[in-house]
Amino acid sequence: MAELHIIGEIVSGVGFSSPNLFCSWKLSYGNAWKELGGDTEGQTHVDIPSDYTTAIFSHPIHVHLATRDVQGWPRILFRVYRESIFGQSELCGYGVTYIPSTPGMHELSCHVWKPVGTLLHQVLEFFLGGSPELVDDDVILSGTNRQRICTTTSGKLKLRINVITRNFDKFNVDI
Amino acid sequence: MSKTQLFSPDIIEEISLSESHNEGDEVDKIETNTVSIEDALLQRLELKKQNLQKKLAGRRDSDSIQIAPPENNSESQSGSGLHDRLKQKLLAMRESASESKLEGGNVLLEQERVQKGRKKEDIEMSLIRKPLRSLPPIATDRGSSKSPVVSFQNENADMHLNQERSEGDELDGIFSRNLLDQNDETASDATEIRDDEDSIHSETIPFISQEPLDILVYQPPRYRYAAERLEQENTVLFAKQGLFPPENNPVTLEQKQGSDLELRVAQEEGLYVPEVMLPPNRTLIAMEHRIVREKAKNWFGEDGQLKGLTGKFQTSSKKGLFHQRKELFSPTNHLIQYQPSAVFPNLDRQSVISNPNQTDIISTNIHLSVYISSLRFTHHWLFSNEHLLCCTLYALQLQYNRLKERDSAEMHFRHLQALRRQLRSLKAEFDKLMLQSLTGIEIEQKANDVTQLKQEISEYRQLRSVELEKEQQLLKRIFKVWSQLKQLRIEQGYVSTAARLRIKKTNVVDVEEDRVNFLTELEEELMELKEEHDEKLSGERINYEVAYDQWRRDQGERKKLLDDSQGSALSIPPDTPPPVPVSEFVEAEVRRRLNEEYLAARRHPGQPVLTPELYLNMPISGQIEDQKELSRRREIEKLSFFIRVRVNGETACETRHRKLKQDFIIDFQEQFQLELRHKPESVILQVYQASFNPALLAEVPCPLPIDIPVQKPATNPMLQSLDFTYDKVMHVKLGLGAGIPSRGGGILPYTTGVLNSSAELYGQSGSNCTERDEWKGYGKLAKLPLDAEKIRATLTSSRLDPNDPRNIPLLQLLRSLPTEDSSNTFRLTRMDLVRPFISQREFLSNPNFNTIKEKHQFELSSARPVQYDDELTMLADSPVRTQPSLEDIQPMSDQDFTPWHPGTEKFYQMVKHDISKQAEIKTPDYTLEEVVIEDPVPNTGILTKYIHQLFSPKRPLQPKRVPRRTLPSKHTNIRELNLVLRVLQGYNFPTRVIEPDKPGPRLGRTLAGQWRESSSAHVSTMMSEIQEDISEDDTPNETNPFIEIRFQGTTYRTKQSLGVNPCWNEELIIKFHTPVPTSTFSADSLLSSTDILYFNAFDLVRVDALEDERLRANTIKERLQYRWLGSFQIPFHTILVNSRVDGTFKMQAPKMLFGYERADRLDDTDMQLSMFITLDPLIKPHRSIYATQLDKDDKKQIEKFKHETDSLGNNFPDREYTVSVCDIDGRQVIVNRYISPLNPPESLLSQEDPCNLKSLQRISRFVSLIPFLPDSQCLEGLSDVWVPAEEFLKLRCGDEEEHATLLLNYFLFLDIEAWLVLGFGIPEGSTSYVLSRDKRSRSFCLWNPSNGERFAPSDVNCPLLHIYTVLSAKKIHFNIQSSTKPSDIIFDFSNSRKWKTCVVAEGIPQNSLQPSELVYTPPDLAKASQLQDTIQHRLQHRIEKWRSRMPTHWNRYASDMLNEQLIKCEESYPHIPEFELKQAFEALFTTFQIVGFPIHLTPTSLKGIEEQVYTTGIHTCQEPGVEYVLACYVHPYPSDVHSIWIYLATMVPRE
Repeated sequence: MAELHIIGEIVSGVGFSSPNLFCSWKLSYGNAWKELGGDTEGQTHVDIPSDYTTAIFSHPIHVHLATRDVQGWPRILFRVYRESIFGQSELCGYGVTYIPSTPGMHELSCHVWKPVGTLLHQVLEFFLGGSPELVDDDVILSGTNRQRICTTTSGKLKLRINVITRNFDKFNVDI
Repeated sequence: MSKTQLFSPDIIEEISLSESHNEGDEVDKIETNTVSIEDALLQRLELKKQNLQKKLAGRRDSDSIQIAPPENNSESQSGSGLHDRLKQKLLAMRESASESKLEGGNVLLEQERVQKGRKKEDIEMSLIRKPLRSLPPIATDRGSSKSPVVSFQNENADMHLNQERSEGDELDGIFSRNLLDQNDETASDATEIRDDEDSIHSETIPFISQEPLDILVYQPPRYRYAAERLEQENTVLFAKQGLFPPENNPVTLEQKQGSDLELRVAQEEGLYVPEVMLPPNRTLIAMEHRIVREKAKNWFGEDGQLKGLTGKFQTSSKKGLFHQRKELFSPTNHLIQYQPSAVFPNLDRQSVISNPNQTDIISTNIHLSVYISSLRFTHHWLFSNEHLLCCTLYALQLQYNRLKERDSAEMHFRHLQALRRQLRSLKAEFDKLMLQSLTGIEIEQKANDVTQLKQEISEYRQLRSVELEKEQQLLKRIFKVWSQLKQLRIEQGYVSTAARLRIKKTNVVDVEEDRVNFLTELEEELMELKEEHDEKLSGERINYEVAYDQWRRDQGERKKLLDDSQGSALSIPPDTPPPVPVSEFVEAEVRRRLNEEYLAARRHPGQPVLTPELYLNMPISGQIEDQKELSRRREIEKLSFFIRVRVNGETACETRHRKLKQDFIIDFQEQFQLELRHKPESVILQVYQASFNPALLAEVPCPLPIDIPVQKPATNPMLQSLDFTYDKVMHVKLGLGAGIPSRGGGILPYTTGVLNSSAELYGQSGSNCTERDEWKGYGKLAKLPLDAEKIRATLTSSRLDPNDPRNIPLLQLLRSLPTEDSSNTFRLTRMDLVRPFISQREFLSNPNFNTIKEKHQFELSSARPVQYDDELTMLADSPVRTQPSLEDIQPMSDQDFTPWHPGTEKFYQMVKHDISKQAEIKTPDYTLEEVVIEDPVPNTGILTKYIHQLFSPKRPLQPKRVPRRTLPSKHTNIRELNLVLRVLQGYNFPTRVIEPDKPGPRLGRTLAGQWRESSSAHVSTMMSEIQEDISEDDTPNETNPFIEIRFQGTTYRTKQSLGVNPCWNEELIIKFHTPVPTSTFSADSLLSSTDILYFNAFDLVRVDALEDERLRANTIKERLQYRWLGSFQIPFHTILVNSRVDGTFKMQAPKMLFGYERADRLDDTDMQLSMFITLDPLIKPHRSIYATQLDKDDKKQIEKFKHETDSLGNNFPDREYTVSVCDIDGRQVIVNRYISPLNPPESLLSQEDPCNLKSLQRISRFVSLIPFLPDSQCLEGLSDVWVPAEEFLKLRCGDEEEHATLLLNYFLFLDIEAWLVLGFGIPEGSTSYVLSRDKRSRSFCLWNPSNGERFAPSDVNCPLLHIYTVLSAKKIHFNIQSSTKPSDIIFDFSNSRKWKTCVVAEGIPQNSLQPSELVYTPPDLAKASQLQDTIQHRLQHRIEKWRSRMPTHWNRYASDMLNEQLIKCEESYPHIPEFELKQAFEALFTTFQIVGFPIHLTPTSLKGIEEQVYTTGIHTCQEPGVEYVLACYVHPYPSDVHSIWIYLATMVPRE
C-alpha cells in the first residue's frame, strides 16, 4: 500500500488586514486514506508580529497517511482567525489547498477568502466585529455550493510542505 | 491620440483612398534606411509627391514627365499585406494619373531631386513663418525627426494625418467626425475627385500668403441631428452593406406568403402542435422583415409563422447554478451565518474547530411546507337523501367538466378531418402512380399507407362516437339527478344543500349548417363503412369462392362415397353446410342504423347546446319543522375534525379543531413549515374526528415532488385533492349512515371525502445536486435501473403518437437515451476510474500499518524507542484478550537474576496497552505561564517588595525560603536538570571504638610526643601548633562522618563533620543526565528513569602510614580510610513525582559494625539523616493517560463517593481523598474491592499464637521482601495500577499499594483489626500503610509495608506524614480532622466530626478483586543456594575487578564463619545477635583489625547488589596485606521470595 508522509509547516500569513492572526488547520482526505500517525488537525498560536505585516506561524505539520487509492488526495483546509485588541477572535477567512502529489519540497501559497454576508452582516461586522461564517465547511471543500456565496479576499497563507511518497510505483502510479 | 473606427475597414480603405487624392501640399523627408512601416508611409508619401510633381509639371507645361516607379524599391524590400494594399492604391492612383492626362515627358532624376529640394525648403519656410489656421492638435507620438509629419488643411474639414505605429501594424488615419460630411460628398467617382482636388489645390496655394488676422476663427461645436445622421447611415450603410434598417411594423401575411398560398393551421386539424420557441416580438419582427426582403420563404411554415424549434432547447437548464445575488441575501440562505466576535475562554480554541451547533443548522436545509386548505365529505354518515343526491350531482358535474375540458370528441373530430384529407391526397397520388403504371415498392408502400390511414380513420371515428355518447349520457344523468333533487326538495319542504344546477342553453346560430354538418359526417362515415365493406368483400369473395369450390368438391366426393358404400356409413364425412357468401352492403339499412345511432348518442341537429353549471349558492332553509332534520343538523354541528401531519411516521403537527358545517366542508386554511434534515420518506395526513378520544378516520399519503427546488416557489401552492375513505359501517338514526344497505336498494358508500392540501419541499439538498436533471420528469421511471436498449425498443415498437401531448415526456426520454453509437465511444465510467490499489479489507488488515499505528499509540508517553517485534504486533492484534494473564508470558532469559518475575515487564506492557486503549489521553490544559517563560515586567508591587528588601534588616541566620517555579516539563525546553540537595544533619551516628591494644590513629600522637622531646626548642612552638591542630581534628573517639551521594555513576560528597549528631548544612548540586543522550527532558522520559540516589555515610579515618619512625619529625604520611556507616536510597522518580523530598530519613545502618558502637544503646533510635532534595528547574510531570472508564458495578458507588470527596475537597484542598483506583483492565474500581482476607504462607505463622507480634513481624517482613517496583517505572505516563495479590505474588514486584493491601489482607486473615491507610509519606510521596490495632492493648500501630517496619502513630520518626483516607473492607473514612499528622490524629472512626465515613454497598466486598485463597510455592532451597553462589562469585569477581591495581586476598575461614552468622541473623531478624557475632570474631580480633558489616539487601537485581556493595566503598581499602571477607546467604521464602544477606569485611593484620 502506498504511503504518504507530509512534513511541513505553515510558514506565515501575509496580506491580511490585521496581522494578529492564528489559524486552525485540518487535513481532509478521502475514504481510501488512513491516518497512521501525526495530527491531522491543529491550531497555531496567535501571532502578533512586531513588523505589522506578516504573521509568522512556523507551525509544524507532520502526518503519515496510508492509502489504497489516489482518489481523495489530501487537502489541507484552513480557517484563519484574527485576534482583536480586546482578545476577541473573528474569522478572517477560509482557504484550502491540495497537498502536492510530487515528492519533494513545495512552497505553497494558499489564498484565503472570506464570505461577505448580507448588508446586515456587514454593518454588524463594521460596528461590532465578528464576521459571517460558513455554516458548513463542506462548502469550502466541495465547491458545489460555492457559487452561492460572495467572497472577498483576505490574504495568503504560505506553506512549506515536504512530501514523501512510498510504494506508489508498486501500483503503477507515477508520482 | 485617439483612434476611431467608425466604419468597417473597407469603408476606411475607401476614405483613405479618397483622402489621398485630396492632399494638396505635402512636406516630406525621405530617409533611406527606414523600417518597414516607415517604408509604407514613405511609399505613400512618394505617391503623393508624384501627384504633386505631375500637377506641377502640368502647370509648368513641361513636355515630358517620367514617372519613375518608386514602388520598385519598396516592393523589393517587403512583401507584406500592407504593401499589397498599398499596391492596390497605387494602381488606383495610376489610373487616376492616366485619367488626368499627365503622360509622357521625361524628367530626369536630378531634376526631380532639385525640384524636391527646393519645394521642401519653401514649404518648410512657410510652415515656420505661417502658423496654420485653426490648427488641430497634432499628436506626434514618436516625435522623432525621422518621422515625417504631414499635415494639411482643408476648407471643409480639419484633417490631420499622423503617421503612427499602431499595435497591429495597421496604418490608420485619424478622421474627425466632419470627415463624414466630406465623405458624403466625395463619391467614388474619380473625375469628381480630381475636380475637387484641383479646387483644393487652387485654394491651398494662397494659404501661404494668408493674413495673420485670420489665424484664429471660432468654430462652433459641430453637431448633426440624430435623425439626419440616421438617414445618412441608412442610405449609406444599409444600402451599401446590404443591411436592413429596423422596422417596427409587423410583416403582413401577404408579404410573407405572397398571395397564392393558402394557410394551414395544424391545431385546427386536431394535431398536437408543441409550443414553438420564438424570440421576443421585436426581434421576431426584425427577423421576419429580413427574411421577407431576402425572399427566403422557406423560413415560414404553412401557417405563416416563423418556423421554430419545438420544446425546450436544452433538456437541462445550464443556468441553474447561477444564483442571483439577491438570493444570497434571502432568508432561506443558510450557508452563511454571522458570528459575533467573541473572546474564547481558556485560550481553548478547539471549539472553533468543531462547533456542534453549527452542524445542526446545516443539516436542516430542507423545508417542508404543508398547506391544508379544506376537507369536503363526499359521503358522511349524517348525510340525508338530499345530500346524497347533491353529492352525486356534484360528482357528475365534475366528470362532465373534465370531459368538456379535455374535449376529446372535438379533438378526435379534427384529427379525423385531417386524416381524411390526407387520405384523399394519398389516394390521388396513388391513382396518379397507378396511371403511370409504376410498379414496385413505391406503390406497395402507398397502398400500405392508404390501408393504415383507413384503419386509423375508423379508429378515430369510433373513439369520437364513444366520446360523444358518453357526453350525452352524462348530460342525461345530470338532468335526471337534478330533477330528483328538485323533486326531493319539494317533497320535504326544505332545502339542506346548497347545490343548484343551471342549464345553459345555447342556440345554434345556423341551424341549416348544423344539419348539413350532421349529415356530412353521417355520409362520410357511411362512405367509409362502405369502402371498408367493399374491401372486405373483395378479400373475402375470393375466400368464399375457394371455400365454395372445396365444398362442392367435398360434396361430390361425399355423394360418390355414399353411392359406393351403401351400408357402412363409417368413412363418410359428415354433411357440411355450404359456405355463406359475404353479404352485400345494403346502403339504406346501414344509413338507417347510423342515423339511429347518431340520434341516440349525439345532439340532434338544430337543437340547442345544453351546458349544465352547478352552483353552490342555494340558500339552506333555516326555518323548518322537520324535527328529525333539525336534530340531524344539530348533530352535524357537534362534530369537529382536525388533521394531523405525520412526517416519516412521526407526528409533526396538527391543525386546530374545526367544526363540521352544514355543507360538510371544513375550511382549515392552515400552513405548516417544517425544517427537515433529509428529504422526508413520507408525509401522511391523518383525518381525525375530534373528541375526547380522537378517532382516526383515514390516513392519506401526501404525494411529494421528486425534485426539490432550492428556493421556495413564489407561486401559490398547487392544491391537490386527496380522496380518503373511512371504511367503518355507521348506523345512525339521524342520517343515512355509511356502508349499510340503503332503503332504496343498493349499498350506501362508506364515509368518503376529499382533502384539499398541498405539500411542498424546498431548500438545499446535497443529493439533489447529483441527480441528473433530465431524469427528473419521469418520476419512478427514472429511479428504475434502466436498460436503455430495452426502453428504446419498447418505445419504438409501440409507435407512439408524437402528436399526443401525453407522449411528450416519453419521447423526450427516448431522445435523451444514449444512442447505440455512444456505446462504442470511449467513456470514463466511474467503475473504470475507481480501482483502488487493494481491497478495503486488505488495507485495514495490513499488519505493517497496524504496527505503525500501534507505535504511535505507544509513543504517547515514552521517548524510548519501542521494539516493533512480531510479538508486539501479535500482542496488539490478538482479537479477544480481556485480561492480561501471566500464562501468556514466557520468561525471557535466565541470564540475569531479577528478583521479580521475568515476564513482569511484558505484563505491564500489556496492562498499559489495555489501559491506553480504553483510557482517555488527556493533554493537560496549559496556561500561558506554563508555555511561555517570561520574566515578569516589574510592576509597583514587585518593586515595592524589592525596595522593602533593601531597607529591611539583614538576617543571614534566618534565611527566607525562595519558592521555586514549577515548570510543566512537556513543552519546556530545559537545557539541564539539576538535583539540588541540601544535607542538613545526621542523628545517632555510631561512635568509633578505640582499640586499646593497637590504637591506630593515636599512634601519630604518641610518636609526635616522643619526637617533641628530642627536638629543639625553637621548633617546638611551631610543632605545638601542629600538634594542636591534629588533636583538634583527630579526636580519636569521635567519628568524622561525611555523606557521599552516588547518582548515575558520579559521586558527590559533603565535607566531613564531627560527632554523633553531625551537622553539615551543605548544598550539593547534582547534574542529571538523561538516559538517552539525545532526548530532551520530557516528563515521560524522566519518569521512566530508573536511577537511584544512594546516600552513604562514611567515617573518615586517618591512618598513619609512616613506616620509618625517623622520618616522623618532618614527614606526615597518613592514609585515609573511608569506613561505611550506613546508607539509604531514594529513587529518582520519587523526587520527580513529589518535586521535593524533605525530611529526616532513616538510614539503613548495619546492626553490627565492627569497630563502632552506638552512642545510644536504645534500640529504636536509628541512624537518621535529615535533608532536602529538589529539582532545578522544578519539573512537574503530567500523567498523560487516565483511566476514565468506570467499572459498571462500581459506577454508582464511585460517582457517589466522588461527589462526597469533591465537597470535602472544598474544605481541605490539599488532601488527596482516594476512592477509586485503576485496575489492570484500566477500569476505575472502588478501593475496597482489594480488601479481603488472604491466607499468609503457613510457614510464617507461629504455631502457638499466630497473632503475636513476632508472627506479625514475620509476615510484614515477608511482604517487605517482595521486590519493590514503582508503577511509574513500568507504566510510564499511567496513573497507579493496583495489581491483585495473586498477580502481585506471581510477578513478585509491586508498588506500595500492592504491598500494603497484601499485608492488610494477611492481617485480616489473622483476624486482626486492620485498615488500609492512604496518605503521604517520605520519601515516596503518596503512599499506603497499614494500620492495625492490637487486640489486647487496643493500641494502634502503623506498618510500613515496603520495609516491614512498625511505628506507633505517636512516633515522630514515622515516615508517614499525612493520613487522608482510611479504608476497611466495607467502609471508607475520610480524614476531616484539622491535622493529618499520624501523631495528632484520633483514630476513632465512629466519630463523625473527625472522620467522614462512607459505607460501601453490600455487594462490593463479595465482588472482591482478590482471590479467595492464595497458593504459595514452597521455599526453593536449591534455587536459593544457587543464587547464593551466583551472588558470591559475582561479588568476588567484581571486587577483584574494582581493586584491579592491587591483589585481593580472600579469607575463606572468616567467610565461612560469617556465613554461619548470617544464617543466625536471618533467623533472629529483626534483632541482630550482635554479641554472638562478636564472640565468633574474638579470636580474629587479636590478629586482625576488622572493619565489616552485614548488609541485608532490599531485593533487587544482581546489578543492584553490585551497586550497593560498590557504594559501601569497601573495595577502596589500601592497607597493605588486607584480606577480604565476603559472605553471602540467601534465605528462601515461599513463592520465590528471597532474603539476601551479604557480609563484607576487611581484615588488616595487626603488626
